[in-house]
Amino acid sequence: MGRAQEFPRAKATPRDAEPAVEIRELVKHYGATPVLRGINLTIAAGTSVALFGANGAGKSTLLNLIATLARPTSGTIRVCGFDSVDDGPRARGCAGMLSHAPWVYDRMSVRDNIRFFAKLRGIHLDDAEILDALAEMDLDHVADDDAGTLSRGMKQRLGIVRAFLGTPALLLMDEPFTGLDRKSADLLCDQIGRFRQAGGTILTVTHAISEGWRIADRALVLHRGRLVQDVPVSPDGLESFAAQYDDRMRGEDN
Amino acid sequence: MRVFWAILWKDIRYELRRRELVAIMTVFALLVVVIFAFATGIRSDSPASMAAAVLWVATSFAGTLGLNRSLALERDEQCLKALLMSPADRSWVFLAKATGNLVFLLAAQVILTPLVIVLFGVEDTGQWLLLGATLLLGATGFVGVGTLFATMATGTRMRDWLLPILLFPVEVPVLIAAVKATANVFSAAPPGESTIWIAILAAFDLIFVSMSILSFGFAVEE
Repeated sequence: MGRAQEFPRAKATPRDAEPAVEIRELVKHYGATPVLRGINLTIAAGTSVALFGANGAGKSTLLNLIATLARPTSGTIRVCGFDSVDDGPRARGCAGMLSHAPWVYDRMSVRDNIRFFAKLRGIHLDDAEILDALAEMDLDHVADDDAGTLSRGMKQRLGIVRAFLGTPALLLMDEPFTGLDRKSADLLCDQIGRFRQAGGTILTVTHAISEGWRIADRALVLHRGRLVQDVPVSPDGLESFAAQYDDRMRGEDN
Repeated sequence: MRVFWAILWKDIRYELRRRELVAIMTVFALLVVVIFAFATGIRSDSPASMAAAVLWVATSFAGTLGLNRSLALERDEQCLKALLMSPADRSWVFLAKATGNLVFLLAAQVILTPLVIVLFGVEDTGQWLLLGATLLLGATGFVGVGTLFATMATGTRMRDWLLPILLFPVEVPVLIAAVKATANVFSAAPPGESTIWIAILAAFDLIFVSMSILSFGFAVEE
């Protein structure tokens, strides 16, 4: 789909040996409030990591820091080998982001939205390529409709097409299943499967343990700004992980 | 540059299709001008000074409205974050948004200025080039800082009133220089008198736009 130069893509990166994400002693404060307290994390290229945690644990902040939408108070983040502060444009060039909001323009057509966001990433897509990308999310039949006229699920699917444009080396997902109907969730899982086959790396922040477990091969738990659990995902490990997680959350509530 | 052109073209195309922003700014500015004209007596003793002041007051009010609206477009679907994720230096995002705002403000001024000239009985002094330079540089100074402040304010709940409160005190030097230069042009003062104010305006623009470019990346990061 289209051609994108300059930035590392899934599997096609000259820095394949680099981890997709490398975080050292990351601290983030908002004013006097510490949100992240000394995070160390390495995510190998080609893996899929799910990050769980209660509200306010710092999950979205961590994702925003990796996406260069926020600046660390101290510590370093390297994305595909590029420093997130000193080499922000190239770090961003490696990453796509899928949020629970679709990040598309309501009053632009579906086709124009994709054309615009592709241009931002330096990709030229012709009409056929745009329709191909939309067809993967079953949106090709509404290509000329304004995005604002789409249902919430369809808009989320459009956000998915946007996030995967150019097959970035790293995909950051913030509660990607929020607001998705069954069909949209299945299409997202298919898209994630294709992305992983292409060698893409994924970091997903979610409350939905079973959905996160389904797409990850490593699970992390963030608790009060610290990584407190890091386990490999196995098909039979969900139950015990969920039980431990629930215990921790109940402890939090009490 | 790719990001600059993509965002600028998107904003212009969006406006050409919807015809909202320029229309709202122009109607609002026209109302301000008409209210001033009737409140002060249409032909005052010093029409040039009055016309210049009214022109820039109306421009400031309409410009603030336009800046708020322009950033609301990005805010409504959180698209600003998508723009900030562009793999380019963030100054290109700022420059694209500021240039779009400048184009829309100039479009409103093109309609507004002749009305002010007619309503306040300003004589044709033939100094159209100086007037054009004043309008361009005044509007540039206004949107240069305005786009930065509007972007900062758009993430807050107080955005509607925060922008004018932040923006107007900072814009005072630009507005004074713009009013003085415009008044000189309207009163057929020797071109040298206008040129001094235009040079001051250009200097403020250079400072304001440079500061905004340098601060934008920090201002938009959480």
